[in-house]
Amino acid sequence: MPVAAGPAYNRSVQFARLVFAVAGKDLRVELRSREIVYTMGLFAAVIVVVFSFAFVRNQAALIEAVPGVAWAAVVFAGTIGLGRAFDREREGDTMRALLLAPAPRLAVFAGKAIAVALLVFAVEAVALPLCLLFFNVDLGAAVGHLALVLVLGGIGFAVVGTVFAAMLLRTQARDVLLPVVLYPILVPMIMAGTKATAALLSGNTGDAWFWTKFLGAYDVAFILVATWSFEALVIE
Amino acid sequence: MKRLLVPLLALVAAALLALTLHKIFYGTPLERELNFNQKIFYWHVPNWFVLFGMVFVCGIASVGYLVKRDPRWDDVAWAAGELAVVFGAIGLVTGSIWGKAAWGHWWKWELRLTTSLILWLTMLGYAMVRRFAGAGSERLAAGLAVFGVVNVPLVYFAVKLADSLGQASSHPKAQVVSQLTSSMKHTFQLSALAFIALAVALLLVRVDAIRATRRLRDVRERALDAGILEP
Amino acid sequence: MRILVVLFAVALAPLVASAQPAPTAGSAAPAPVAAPQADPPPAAAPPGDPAPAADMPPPPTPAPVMTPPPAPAVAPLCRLAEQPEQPAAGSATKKVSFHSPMRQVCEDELSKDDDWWFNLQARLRRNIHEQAFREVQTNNRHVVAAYGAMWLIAIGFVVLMWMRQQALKGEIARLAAELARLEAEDQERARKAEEAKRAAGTPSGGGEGAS
Repeated sequence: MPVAAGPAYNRSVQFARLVFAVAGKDLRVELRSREIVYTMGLFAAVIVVVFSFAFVRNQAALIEAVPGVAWAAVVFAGTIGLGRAFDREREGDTMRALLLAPAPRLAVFAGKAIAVALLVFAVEAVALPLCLLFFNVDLGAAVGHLALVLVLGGIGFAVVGTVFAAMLLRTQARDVLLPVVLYPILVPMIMAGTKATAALLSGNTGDAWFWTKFLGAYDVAFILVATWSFEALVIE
Repeated sequence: MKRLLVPLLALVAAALLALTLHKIFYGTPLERELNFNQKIFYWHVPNWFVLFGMVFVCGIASVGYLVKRDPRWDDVAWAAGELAVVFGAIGLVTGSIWGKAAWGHWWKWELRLTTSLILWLTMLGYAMVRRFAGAGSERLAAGLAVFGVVNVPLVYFAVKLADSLGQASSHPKAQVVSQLTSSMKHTFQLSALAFIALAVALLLVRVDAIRATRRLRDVRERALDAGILEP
Repeated sequence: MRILVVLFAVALAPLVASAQPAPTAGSAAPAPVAAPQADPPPAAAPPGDPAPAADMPPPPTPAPVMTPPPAPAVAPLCRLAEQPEQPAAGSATKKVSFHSPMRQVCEDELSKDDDWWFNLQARLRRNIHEQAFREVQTNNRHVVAAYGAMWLIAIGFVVLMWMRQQALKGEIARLAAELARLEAEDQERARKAEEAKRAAGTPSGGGEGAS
């Protein structure tokens, strides 16, 4: 860690400050009404309940369905929340203001991605315990590992989702186009997440670590692609 | 010379397709394991070559459009994306028919089929965006193409590593082409040429049509701006 | 940015190291044509004359004769009287292969009777033919279906392009008509302006201007 503050150090501190300013702005707005968090959370809970009905046999739910149900709830509720977060920007016409601000585009993108990621974490915090409850799963010591998997998945979702939602901001038919364009890109994340969760549930920590590392690689790959292309992709 | 290119390519493609049809049914021996069904291979595999070519072209044209902002790159990307959807549909349908003949069921969640399905869904999303997202959506489509192309190796490795942690793949081996007898190899190469000619011809035609649409729209905008036309 | 690239490499390295090598891909599809292999009967001692005992049943009838094998103490009636190895007693088996003790007898009789051998061959040949025909007929469907689907999708795409082309031509025609109308209006207006100017400029001399 450099002790003397050189220009690069100053710039990165400035950058980080901007990122947290944007993220903080989003979170403060959200905390005032808590609209998105409540609706996303309820939506995720409803999805979990409905899918649990679908997989009940002899008054007990199949444990093999847990990864799929949990991640489906996270992805669907996350998409709704993502759409709502950017709807708010468009309704207030604040997106243009954000992009005109004297801040590098990358800082704006990172700030928004962090805010979306925190929303997704909130959804995961609702969906997973409900799943574990309805399916009678006892994880024990693997809870920490599961939390790590969820965090990595949430980051991947936030990064890719923010780029696409920002691009779709002024497009017609954006509500239905967001899932249509987003989900094929999210497939490796969903695959890795469900396989990691399934491995954790069956106690296979070797496989679980493998898929966790794959999630990390996915996150890094798409963070790179997003940072390289955000300038070119989001103009207005 | 350029005017003759498309008819020439179309003619070459038609001739080669007819020739390979004849050779497939009368000039190649029956394969030992799959008997008659193996003959789907002569058109199924070149189709996937062409599909990956189109996806590649779409990705490169999208990057070119994002870098240079020249709408001509965007035209090429749009045409390549649509053709990728068409060839992907052909590949998936013929592949699942072949799968029914060879494995006994229409679908199997194995490496190549899964990767192809995800790729096809991405290109279908691309076509939807181009069709329904209205004006000014070129950047969105370009971004989707770039993300989709980066996504393909990730999906491939995810499924491959999942398979290796599970069971072995049952898709015919990748080196199957080099093990063919000479008559089969010959027919396969001719068929690949036919499909490439067909794909290039279709691409050129489609790019032309998209370019004409864009120019028409531009001229119309200019006329409206000048007050000549009533909207 | 460089930090991210390094992170990427660091994340990938253990991934690549810990990925188990994919097992060599299994062989291709199971053969739909699986001609049941008949085990050749275990060759026993060089052929000698079978000793047809008095109590031997007559030459083989269609119904298999289930005679128990002769006891080992007595000299075996035919050399191929040994049964194939039975699985361990107590283990449940779905199928016990029946190995006829009459095989050598049949083969010797067959080699003596030309007519019989010829008839058998004719029957088998027809069976093989019919089996092959059924194969081709069922497999054929899939190839035809695949090629047909390919052509249908390609033709569908061409039709789609054709329809868009027609729409484009219609749009062009409409705009051309609009343009022609506007041009005509323009000419009309110019003519009227010309007339008005002529009328205003030379009120006395009418018809002086070049018509």
